[in-house]
Amino acid sequence: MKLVKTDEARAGQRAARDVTDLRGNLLFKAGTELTAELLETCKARTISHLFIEDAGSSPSASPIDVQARREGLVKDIDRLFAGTDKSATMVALREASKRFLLSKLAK
Amino acid sequence: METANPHQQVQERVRKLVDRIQGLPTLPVMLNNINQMILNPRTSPKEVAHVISNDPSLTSKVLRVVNSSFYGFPNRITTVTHAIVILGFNTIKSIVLSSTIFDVFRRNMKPGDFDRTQFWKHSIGCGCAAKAIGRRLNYPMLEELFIAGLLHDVGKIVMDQYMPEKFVEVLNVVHQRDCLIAEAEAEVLGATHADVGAWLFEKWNLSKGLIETTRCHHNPALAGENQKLAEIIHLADILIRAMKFGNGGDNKIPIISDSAWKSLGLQHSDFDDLFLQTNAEIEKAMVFLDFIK
Repeated sequence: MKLVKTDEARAGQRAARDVTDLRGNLLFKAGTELTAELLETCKARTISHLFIEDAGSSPSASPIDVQARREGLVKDIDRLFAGTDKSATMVALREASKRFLLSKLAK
Repeated sequence: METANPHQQVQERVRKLVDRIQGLPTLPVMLNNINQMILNPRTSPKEVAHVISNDPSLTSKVLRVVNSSFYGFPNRITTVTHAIVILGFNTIKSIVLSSTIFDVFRRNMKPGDFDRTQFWKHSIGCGCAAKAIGRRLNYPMLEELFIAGLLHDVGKIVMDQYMPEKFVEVLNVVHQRDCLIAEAEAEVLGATHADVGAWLFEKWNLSKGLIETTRCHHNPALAGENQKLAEIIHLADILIRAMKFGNGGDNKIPIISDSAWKSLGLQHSDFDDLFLQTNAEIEKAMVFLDFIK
């Protein structure tokens, strides 16, 4: 699941949470596939952000795609932490970061 | 001949740097008025509410924050006076400060190399991480932690807005060397965003804790009586980078200060829970992301 600006959401993506307007009225439920019309409704109701399902969690993503995303993420984290290996605390943080971000990717 | 100590030297470099800035942002007059009113023990919630209510846009923002899941009150709060009675003067002051800060730096916003949306996401995330750490440590003032995290990097925006050519040079150095932005700033400008942010907050007469935390978030041991606060923001800044939420202008992560880590008394096994708690805080702080727009 990730949070995106409504302007940046695309038709075909799926809502990861129920979407309500500012008065709490349900517009559509989690799992609904976004359409251009729904996105326009969100903008009209000044809903600025939407939780959408990650592409990696969609049923259409192949196991190879998911694996590639996991490997890319691990590489990104290793790059971010490059040069910090001498600190045991930073090594522990890096590994916790991998666990956290990979679990988010899997959801 | 007497030579200046390192702190004085940095102060002098910051002074030279900011002397070039034209039309620095001013703290909204209304916030200054509220600060003054709160110092007076005879001020009533109604009087402070009256000042806030003179600005309909701010009133709306304050009520949105107060009624958001950030505070999670079961019943809707419909007046600023009610909000002050429930939350107290200092919390309302923090809400006003956080609600107005986005506006102060929205003016003259220009498209450039520095991604302000990512910057504010990093800042909001840092505030959320600070709250998560504070809760873990039973720190008494979580509101103070959120604000300190939200504002710790404001010096970057000052540089981006008021010395854009120099700041582009900084970003080019970051890009070419893949270094921390503070290292590039020190090289190009002779001072860092931490120095510039602290200087601005001094000008704005903000609290000593906020000034010192901003100045020392890379080196919390120098924060004197505000060391604990600075240690939490130091760690929060690094945690939120590790969570890859937002971006403060570089793609590196600073090393957690050994002395800060020992002083905070946390364990490596705490990281997993801190990530989860920070994530939960971010979901509650979504209302602030709306202000970035």
